[in-house]
Amino acid sequence: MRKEGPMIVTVLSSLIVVFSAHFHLGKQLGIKDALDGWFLISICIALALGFVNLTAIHWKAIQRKREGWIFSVWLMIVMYGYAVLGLIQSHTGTQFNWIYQNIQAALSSAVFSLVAFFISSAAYRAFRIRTKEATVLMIFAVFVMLGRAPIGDAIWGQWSYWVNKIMAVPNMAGMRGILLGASIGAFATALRIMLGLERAHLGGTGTQ
Amino acid sequence: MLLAQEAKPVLGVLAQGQVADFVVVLLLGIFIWVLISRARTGRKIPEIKKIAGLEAVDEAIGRATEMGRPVDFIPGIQSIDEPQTLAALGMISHVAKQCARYDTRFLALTCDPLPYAVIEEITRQAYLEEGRPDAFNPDDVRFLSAEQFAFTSSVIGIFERERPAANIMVGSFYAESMILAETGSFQGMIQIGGTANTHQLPFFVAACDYALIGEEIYAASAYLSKEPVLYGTVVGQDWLKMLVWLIILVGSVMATVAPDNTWLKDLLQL
Amino acid sequence: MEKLMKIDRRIIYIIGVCVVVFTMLYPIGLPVKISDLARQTYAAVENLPDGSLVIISPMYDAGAMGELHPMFTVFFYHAAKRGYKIVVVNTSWVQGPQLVHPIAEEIAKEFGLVYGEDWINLGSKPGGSVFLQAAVTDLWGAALTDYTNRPIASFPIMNRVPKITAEFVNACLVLDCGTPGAPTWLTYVNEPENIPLIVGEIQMSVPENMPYVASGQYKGMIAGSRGCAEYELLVGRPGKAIKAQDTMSSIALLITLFIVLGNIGYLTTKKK
Repeated sequence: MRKEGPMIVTVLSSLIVVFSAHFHLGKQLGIKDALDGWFLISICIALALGFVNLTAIHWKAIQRKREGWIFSVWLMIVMYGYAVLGLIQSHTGTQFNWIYQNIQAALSSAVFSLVAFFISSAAYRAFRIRTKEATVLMIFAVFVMLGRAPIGDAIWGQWSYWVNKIMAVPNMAGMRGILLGASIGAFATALRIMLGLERAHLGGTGTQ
Repeated sequence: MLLAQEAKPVLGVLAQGQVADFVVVLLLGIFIWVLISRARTGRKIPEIKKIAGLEAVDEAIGRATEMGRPVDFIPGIQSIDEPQTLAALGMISHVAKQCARYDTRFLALTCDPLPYAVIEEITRQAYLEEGRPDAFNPDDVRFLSAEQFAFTSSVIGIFERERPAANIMVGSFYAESMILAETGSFQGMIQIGGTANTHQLPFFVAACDYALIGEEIYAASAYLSKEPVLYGTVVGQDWLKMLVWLIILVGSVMATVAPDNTWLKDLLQL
Repeated sequence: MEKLMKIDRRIIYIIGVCVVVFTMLYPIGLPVKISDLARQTYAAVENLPDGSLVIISPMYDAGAMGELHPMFTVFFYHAAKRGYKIVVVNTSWVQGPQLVHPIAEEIAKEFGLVYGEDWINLGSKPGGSVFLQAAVTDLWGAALTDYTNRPIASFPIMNRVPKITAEFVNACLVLDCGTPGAPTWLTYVNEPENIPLIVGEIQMSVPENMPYVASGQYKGMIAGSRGCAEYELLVGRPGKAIKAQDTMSSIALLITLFIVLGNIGYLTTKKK
């Protein structure tokens, strides 16, 4: 019953969603709205679980004085301190907001900006003309990259025009192909779960 | 109860605008049922092509085993309602089992609490099935942060400190994909990246040793399990793709030859 | 020559930083050519009926604000300039409305817009697609309070928009960097309710979203920082995106240079 119970819940929920989405009566009853509400509640409970997991891992690190345990202490102070501040002030609180705008936002932006550096080193390493295909890839990558910046048009007036054409025709055709394949794949995965053929989400080792 | 839909039903029971969708659900169900039946009765079903990225999974684990270093798995940064995360879960059990079998440390790093809870259970079960429940360390399945870049920073830190030899990233990734893949590359890891997020695919192609493109990640659990019944579902998915291809072809021809004739469009919008 | 193949990544990064800082301090001011897509996007906002009500949804957080803040600025500025009523709301991206609030306040002050009458920030609502579906039938019930936790019924602007349908909302302007994002709005709000959707996308999401523009499902799209610079020119308010263009040019050139050097090293080593 440990596996059958959740499996029955999965199949029933799936049938309710299909019924609510495709059938007139299902839409009228709006049962899916209730399921959606339950899903939101489960996310909140799981977030608490994540909170407990982080505490457990870092508490152990502190207790056993593992390498870098001082950072675990810092993490606990920041995590609990900010949570308590949020509970007291809510998200519109002056100090809560200040910390978010001036620390969290700045740090997130800084990590995001690393992408630019990593793209440059990855491009340098990856775009080698080893094969015909790699050569085509490199030429188009450089062409589009320069054309998306004003320098392209400064070199040749028609550069951005042709970049837009590349984006709108061959790029879009490829994107549509991948999107269609991926959507059907996602759809088949959903059906496998509905039919109970794939059970990894129940914490088992995957397949049946 | 809300009365959300005031439109009249189509064919007596179906909601407006949902007929084509429902037919597709039904058709895929039929395709899969036919193929599963064939597989169960031992009849031949078409082969799936070799997927290099999935073939490399065991090689990556083998290399980590030889080096005595961990294997890490990142199932994207989205929650459990994301199909790509579900596809990753199907793959994790295989990786965890292999790691348990070869006594290689397995790290699962998550950005969302829901997959975290499920992955912990999958990993525990995998170790149990391999007869090594004692080797399972719950601390190796980690929820790092629900904040995208805080998670990214944590993973970079783990890469630097714990130096996994293999990095498998399959799921829904965004801007962190490039940062993680490049950091993995600096560390000399063998890397397999897979996502259906087309905007991140070029990064995986550029920075990883193997890339799983789009739908390949959805075939992963079936492919790795080598289970004929699941193979059948992947072939069923391909049959549906051929049907979609046919509809696109007919639609394109009609739009070119008879642009005023909209019966196919009307039919799909029913 | 083999060295050209193995340039240390730290050298690439240091040169990159120097180039960025240099072009920010000494901009060249290369002209930005306006694309058809930018004109189409501008026209989609400009040609809404007078007195329209638009929703601006900042579906992003701090990570993407470098690219999306200028887009929020031009959308908000353009809507304010045209005299539209503006509702700022998002779902799931908790910090989006918090981050854009100071920008909105500044532009509102510039045009003398009154909070609660001419514009409102409803904040971030949990639920993603679930919230959007609920907002289509009952925005008041789904949102409940504004950004400052005051009941939305107390604001006159909300009398104009009890739900997100074509009857009450003239367009949705969605700034997007992930999921849920513009496609979520399209699926649950704009397509079923037939409300025009105009989007702003970070550069790396542009290729994926091009099909929606071509199919007419997006009425317009600000395509990355370059697209935003073009929009800034069209709306007559040069801002951060325009300033970033020289940096983009110099970095694109630098990466090209490294790719060429790497290939010279590769080809000469291969010949040996």
